[in-house]
Amino acid sequence: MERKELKAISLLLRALLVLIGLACLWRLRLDLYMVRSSYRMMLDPTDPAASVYRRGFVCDLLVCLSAAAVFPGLAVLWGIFRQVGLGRGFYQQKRLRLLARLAAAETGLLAGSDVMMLSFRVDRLGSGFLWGVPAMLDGAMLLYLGLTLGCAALTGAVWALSRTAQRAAELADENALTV
Amino acid sequence: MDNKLLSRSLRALALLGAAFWLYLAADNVYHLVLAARGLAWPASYGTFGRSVRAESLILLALAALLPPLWDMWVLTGRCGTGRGFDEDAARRLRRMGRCSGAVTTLLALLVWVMLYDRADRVPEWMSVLQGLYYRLDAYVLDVLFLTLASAICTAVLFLLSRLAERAALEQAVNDLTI
Repeated sequence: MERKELKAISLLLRALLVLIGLACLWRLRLDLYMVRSSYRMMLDPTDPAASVYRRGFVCDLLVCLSAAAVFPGLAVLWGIFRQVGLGRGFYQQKRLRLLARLAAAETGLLAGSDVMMLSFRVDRLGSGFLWGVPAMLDGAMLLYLGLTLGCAALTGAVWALSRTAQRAAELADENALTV
Repeated sequence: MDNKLLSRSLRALALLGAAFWLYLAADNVYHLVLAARGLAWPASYGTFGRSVRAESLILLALAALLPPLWDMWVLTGRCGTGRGFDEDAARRLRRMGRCSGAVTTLLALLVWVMLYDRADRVPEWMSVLQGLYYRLDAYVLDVLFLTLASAICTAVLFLLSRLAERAALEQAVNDLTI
């Protein structure tokens, strides 16, 4: 691939990263607002629903943390795409491994918030398993489950890529030695 | 981690993804049928019309995800055999990129439809930016995030397919040299 082409792709990818960052910032603002309001509701110990509010606070906090955890991943991706633009090739195993670890952390946070969100919907199972499960898995829940699965797949794919990159680097070293 | 173990975990994930895809498709078809039935009442034509539009776009995006799911299954299987990048992998990666591009376009359309549907939340005296502030709720933001992530996926898959092509070419040259 030509250097100009690589540069254009790198710039496009980084522009997309900026857009994702902005969307995440906006989302984080909404999440922080939710966390603050659920924290205020939790503070009243005389309220009979205090334990529900406490769980709601934990759930909101996990969602907020998962939105915040996107930023380190974006920073690592920025570095990888920058190197792609410079034509450095595939030898970025350290960055890829770090990205896989960050994606795994994000998957964990998303899975935690999924569990909390499901726990709020358990009472819907009262109408029987066949009708209860679809009632539990509403639009928001499905979106979060999809995000979690996608993030888990990303973790695995990036991990596999980091292994390939490592092998490529080893082969390049061997070739250099041979020459 | 051993290559075979990695391949198995990825395949387990792909299976989970396929089960999730099936559930999502069934749920989507159910909602689409409900919304289509609702179109029979002229009074609620607008509301159900919006639902039909959004659900059809989601269904199309889901359909576009099928070939990449299959390719992912095949490619993750190869992870365990240590075959690496070759011409077949390049072809599959290119197809995945094309499908990912289609999904990105459909999701972008969905974001547009969702923003358009939320127009009634915005008073007339507001500017475009202020209006956007009222329309961008958590749901729209999540779909927007998915759209952008899908766009990045498309570009990365395209890059990987080129890389695989080059690897296959180099392998062929090496074979000739030997």
